[in-house]
Amino acid sequence: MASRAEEPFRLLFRRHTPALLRLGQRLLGGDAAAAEDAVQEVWIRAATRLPDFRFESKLRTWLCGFVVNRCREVLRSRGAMAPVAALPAEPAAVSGDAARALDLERAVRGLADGYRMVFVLHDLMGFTHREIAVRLDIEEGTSKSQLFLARRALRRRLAGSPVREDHHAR
Amino acid sequence: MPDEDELTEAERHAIGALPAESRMPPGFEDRVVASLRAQGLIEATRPAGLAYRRSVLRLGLAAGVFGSGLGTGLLAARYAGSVPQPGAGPLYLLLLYPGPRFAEGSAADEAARVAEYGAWAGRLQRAGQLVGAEKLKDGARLLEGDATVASEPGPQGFFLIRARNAEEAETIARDCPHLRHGGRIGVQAVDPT
Repeated sequence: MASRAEEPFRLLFRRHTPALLRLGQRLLGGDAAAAEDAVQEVWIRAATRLPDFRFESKLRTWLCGFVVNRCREVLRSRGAMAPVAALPAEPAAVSGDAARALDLERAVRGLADGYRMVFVLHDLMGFTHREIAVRLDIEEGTSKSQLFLARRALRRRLAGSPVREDHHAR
Repeated sequence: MPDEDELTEAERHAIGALPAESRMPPGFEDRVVASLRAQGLIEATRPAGLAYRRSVLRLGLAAGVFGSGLGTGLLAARYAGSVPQPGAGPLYLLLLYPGPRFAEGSAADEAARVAEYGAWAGRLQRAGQLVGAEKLKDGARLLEGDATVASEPGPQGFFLIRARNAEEAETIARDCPHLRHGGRIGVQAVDPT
C-alpha cells in the first residue's frame, strides 16, 4: 500500500491551486465560494487517482479536466434557476488594460453557461474543439457554434460597456 | 467589423492579459489538507528530520529541470510512491549536460518526455536510490586565482543517487532518458572522506 506524504502534496497543491481556482471561478460565473468548494473536491478526486497518473499529459491539464467536470456538475445541479453571481464592487479607479480586463471578465461571467464553458476552454485555456467535444461530451460542431455565439455575445456586451480606453473613476 | 469566427489582435491581447491565477484564500490549503487527511488520502509527513524535508523541498524546486515535466514527475512520484528514505550505499553524482545532439524538443514532445523522465525518476524513487536533484542555471564560470579563466555552458542539473558500486551507477545513468535525447551524463562517485 503506497503511502501518501503530506509535504509533497502541499507543494503540488501550492503550484497548481491558484490556476485551478481561477478556472473554477470563470466556469462558475465568478462564484468564488463555489469555485473553492469545487477545487477542494477536485483535489480529493485527484488525490484518489494521482497514483494512477501516468505522465501521459501535463499534470496541470489533468487537474483542469477534474475542474471542468466538477464545475459542470455544479452547473447542472443549479439548473435553470442559477442565480447570477454578484459582481465584485467597482474599484475606485480603473483604467487602461485593467479596465478592459475587468470589462472582459464581467462580460464572460454574464454569458450563458454553455457559451461560457466553451469560450473559457477554447479562448482562455487553449483547448481545441476536438478536446472540448470529448471533455463536454458534445459534437465538435456544437463546440464551434457555441464559441461563435459566445464571441458574438461578448462583443455585443463589450460594445455597450461603459468602460472605455479613456476610462476614469466613475 | 470583425469576423466573428476569428479573434482580432486586440481581442487576443485582451484575453492574454487576463490573469491566469487567483489568490489562494487564507487557510484554504490547510482546510483541503485536513479534509484529505480525514479521508485517509494523505498522511502527515513522517518526522524524518530536516534533511528529509529539505530533500523534498529541493525536489519541488527542481521543477522545470530538463523540461517542465521532470520536476512535476519527481514530485508526483514522491507523493504517490512509497516515499522511501534513501538507502545505504555509496553516493554518485549524475551531471546532466546538453551534449552536441541534445534536442530541446517541441511542445508536442513534452508529454512523452515527461513520461520518460517521470518513469525513470519514479523507479529510482521507489528503489530508495534518489537522494536529491537540482536544476542549475545556464553558464558556469571557471575561476582560477583572482581571474575568471573561462565561461562555459556547464551542466543543466544533477541527480544525487545511491548505488551499490560504480557499475550500477553507470547502469542507472545509461537508463536515463537524457541520453536518448542526445544529452550527456557525467557519472562521478562522491568521495566519502
